[in-house]
Amino acid sequence: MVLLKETDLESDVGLVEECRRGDPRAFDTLINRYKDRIYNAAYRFLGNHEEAADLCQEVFVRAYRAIDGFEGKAKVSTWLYSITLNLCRNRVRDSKRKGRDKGVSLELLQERSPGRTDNFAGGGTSPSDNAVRAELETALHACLEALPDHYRMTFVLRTYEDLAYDEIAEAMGCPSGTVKSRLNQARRLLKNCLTEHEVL
Amino acid sequence: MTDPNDIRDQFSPLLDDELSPDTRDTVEAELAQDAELLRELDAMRKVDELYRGLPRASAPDDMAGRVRNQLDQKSNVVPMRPRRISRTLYTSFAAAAIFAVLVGAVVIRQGGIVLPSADERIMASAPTKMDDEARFAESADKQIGATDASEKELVQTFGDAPEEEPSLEVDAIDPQPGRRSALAMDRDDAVQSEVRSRQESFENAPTAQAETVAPADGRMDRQNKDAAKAKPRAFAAAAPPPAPATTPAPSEAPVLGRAVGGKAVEEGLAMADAEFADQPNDIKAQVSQAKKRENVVQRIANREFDEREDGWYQRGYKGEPTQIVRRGSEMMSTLLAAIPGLNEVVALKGDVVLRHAETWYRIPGERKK
Repeated sequence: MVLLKETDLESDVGLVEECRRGDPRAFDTLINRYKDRIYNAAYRFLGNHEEAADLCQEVFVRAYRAIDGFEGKAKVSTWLYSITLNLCRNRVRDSKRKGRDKGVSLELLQERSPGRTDNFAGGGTSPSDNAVRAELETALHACLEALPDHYRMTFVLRTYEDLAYDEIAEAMGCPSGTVKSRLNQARRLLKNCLTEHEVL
Repeated sequence: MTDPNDIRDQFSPLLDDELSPDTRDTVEAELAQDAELLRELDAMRKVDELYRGLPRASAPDDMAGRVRNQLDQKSNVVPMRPRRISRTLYTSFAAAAIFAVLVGAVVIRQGGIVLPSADERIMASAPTKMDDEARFAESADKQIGATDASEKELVQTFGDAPEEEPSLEVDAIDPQPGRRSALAMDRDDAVQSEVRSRQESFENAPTAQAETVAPADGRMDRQNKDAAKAKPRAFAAAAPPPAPATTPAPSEAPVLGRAVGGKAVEEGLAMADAEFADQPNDIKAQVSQAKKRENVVQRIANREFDEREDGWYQRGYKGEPTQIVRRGSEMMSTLLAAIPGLNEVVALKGDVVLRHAETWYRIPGERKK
């Protein structure tokens, strides 16, 4: 019985309930559980670590303020992703309105936050390997950022976060068939783009 | 499912393992027969692998602390970012403002608040012209004051001084600034009438002095009769110095009459005409209409009430602030008790403005149509 109760508390729904009762530790647990996934999705979508960190923080602030309205019909993760997508859309829209270039090259990313891409760009055994991998990552980023927003969002949620089509549909507020066609189109565009960059 | 495009549409669900077993078998069977489609599927799988191979980015370790800080700040600090007011909100504000103005206008009309009379509004629409007319009227008044003595002498000279006749109390009838111009015109008309009358009497009859001013001779109506007193004022400035106090010989009367009512009067009228000739016809017409409206007078409870556009005003009212007295109120009862005959007054249509105990009261009444 005690074990069952502890399991309930550790579940997303249990944590949400605890948050509603005013337990700050429950929300900290939720943050720690989802922060990397949210951050990664935001980073893949925005292509910028600083913006991704700000956006991740904003996602949890919004979630905390709206936690009383969370009905539990969807998973907590899907709910958090839907907040993330909305904020990402807003940020991209604002950037376009202000005429900012949302694309950030991998080199610039490395200059801004050295070490964050070391796992990939620095994973090679030799400087030449590292250069090749860095070039590959630059191409991948460039092609991903070239995708239309709704294709990119769909692709990121599927490829990086492994969400099922239904979950993506719920997070994006569209039918599963739309998710399928968007994913198909996104992959085709990426394939063509990477072929142009002589990656494929 | 032999169309290659249909097979291509299933690539993503196939890679993501989202196909039903039957569809999956069909797609795999088609791919086995079409090398081109298979290459495309492999390229797409490669794309997926490349992106999945990218390292996962990690959130800052202190994310929970940052979120908590932000929540604390937001709960304690009022956001400084100004709220943007949408166009819809602006439109709503504008509509509300217009509505408020309209409601205010209706309340003012129905609530008995003193509004400018029709004549005031007419004159207010042409302030510069009104000023000109006011100056003209003031000039005439000065002339009146300066020549009162000569007027009396003139009347005495002609042997008729209707002292008890009600005079044309210009200021009492219409003391309002905008009305003075109308009175100036009134004087002007009366002067002309008087001059004509006197000239005729002097020229046509040796005993003109009796005909000229006799109120019962039937030659002058009430207006002219009043004018007989008021008209000389208008042109008196141009009149010569007062005549000798002694009664002139009958033979001199026509001479004196010609001197005053003839040349001098004509000069005065010419000045007046010249001064007023600049006024546009529309102003004259408006003033004339306003003058006609003033002619209706009610005498009730020993008071005279002039009819105006929105009701009846006791003579002498000069636009002073009024105290509103509702019918049926205690104040109304007090007034009814204090002023005999007030019932007849308040029976008139429209507002009634009257004076009692040094105070002007307005009794809102049924709107006049």
